[in-house]
Amino acid sequence: MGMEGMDVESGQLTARHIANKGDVLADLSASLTSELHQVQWVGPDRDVFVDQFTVDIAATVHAAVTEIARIAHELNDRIIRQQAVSNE
Amino acid sequence: MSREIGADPDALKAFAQRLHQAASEVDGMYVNIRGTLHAFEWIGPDADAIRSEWDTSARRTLVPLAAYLRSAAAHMAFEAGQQISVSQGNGAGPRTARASTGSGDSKPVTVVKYWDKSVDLSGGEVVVGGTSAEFRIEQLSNGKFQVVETFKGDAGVGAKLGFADGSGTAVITATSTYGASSLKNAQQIQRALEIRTVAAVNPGSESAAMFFTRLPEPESISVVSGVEGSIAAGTPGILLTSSKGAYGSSAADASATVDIVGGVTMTPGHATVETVSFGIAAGIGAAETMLGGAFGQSAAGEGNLSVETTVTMDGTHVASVSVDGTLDATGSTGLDFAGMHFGPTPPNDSIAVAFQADINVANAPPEIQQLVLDLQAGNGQQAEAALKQLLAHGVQVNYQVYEGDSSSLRVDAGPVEFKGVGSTMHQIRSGQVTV
Repeated sequence: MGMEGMDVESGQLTARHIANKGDVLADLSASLTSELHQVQWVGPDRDVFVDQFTVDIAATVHAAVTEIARIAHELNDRIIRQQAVSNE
Repeated sequence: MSREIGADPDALKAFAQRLHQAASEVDGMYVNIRGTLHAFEWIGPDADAIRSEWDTSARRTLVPLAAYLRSAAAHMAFEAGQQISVSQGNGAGPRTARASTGSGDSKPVTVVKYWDKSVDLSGGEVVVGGTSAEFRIEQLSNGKFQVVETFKGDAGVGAKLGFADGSGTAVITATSTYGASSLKNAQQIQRALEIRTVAAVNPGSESAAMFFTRLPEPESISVVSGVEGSIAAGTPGILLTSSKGAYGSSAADASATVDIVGGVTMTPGHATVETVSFGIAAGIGAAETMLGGAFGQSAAGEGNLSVETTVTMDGTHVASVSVDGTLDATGSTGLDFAGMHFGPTPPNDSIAVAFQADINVANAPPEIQQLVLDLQAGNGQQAEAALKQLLAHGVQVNYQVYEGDSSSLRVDAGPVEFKGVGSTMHQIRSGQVTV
């Protein structure tokens, strides 16, 4: 049975791990957009799709990255509070 | 000046596959972060809150992102099909085809409205407490509908080996998508899926008669599996003898958390399987040895691990996973007194860690081999039959036994029960949610 509280070092590792996932997601979005531009496809259908995809993927990924950063930030906040309690 | 219009259908299909892969990566990211948040030592209301918050956040952001990528993939596959049919109609080869679709209406298909239903299942000891099935009917911007079935299952295992305690939870999230021409068809498919799920868990229910309800072949199946585990090792109470013959006790603790997430995408009828992503996170806790309160040795480390994986679909060798990495540890040995340290301090140490896991069904019971083959081939009906046959004989996973008969499914002799169904409708544009 564990005591109430946090293993601070593991928490810091976890926060970094989560924050890194936001970067991975942003890279994935950039990579997909770049790869789409390289697909051999010419015509109005292609132009509409690429424009729409570029806007949509940027918006949905931005929302996800923001949430991931927020969770990492909140975890860091709690780590700081935990450290403060531990140092009292 | 005009430009030639057209597309390489193979390139469109390849990008569609890439989008499916990206969707699975996003699924894997959700499981990975969830696993990481659950795996490290943190107990209390704050811990519960942030873990629950992540589930909510992921549902609000990563799940729609994965759904969007899959809808874009479906659109690309549609474009490839159009291109091929146009090419064949013109008597030209696909690669030299000229597109005549030219409607300009090539916006990615998006979800404009969806209805959620969830089926919670529980049972066994603590084994399938997290199991659930979710069904979503999505109304697409092209006027069509699709039904998305997501099955999430957690299964825990535990082990004791010498002074080490280990526990692990396997997480499997399988998402199948079925196309439907109308809302009515979508509702019928969803209903059939619900019946199948409930009947599979509780074969004795009145719905069992409809167990073999005919379902269309899914358009896509995505499986994300993960392992959340923790290992704790301690050596309490070991008696050590110093050079002067004094006795002391040693208490060393180390903990590691590991999560591995992988995604497999199966396309029915093509039996293509890809390894999508593997991630690993490890934290090594501090270890400390104290002798008589004065002579101390301490160490702290942080693991940096990388994962390589290959999955081959030769019918027997399903997956290989290799993990390697380094553990950088610092430590000190000597006498700590009044804030001062006396004694040698060893240089930073480096420990190589290697791990390899192979999943091979060549020597598995014929029922399991058949189930894997059916899953690989996307033969849903046959897979169900194989699973049913498997459960009838009882399946032992580590020390947990899954067994079933005509009246119930049991895990370690504990019945699995059907808890209930929840339903919500989401209007994406207005944000309105009706429960």
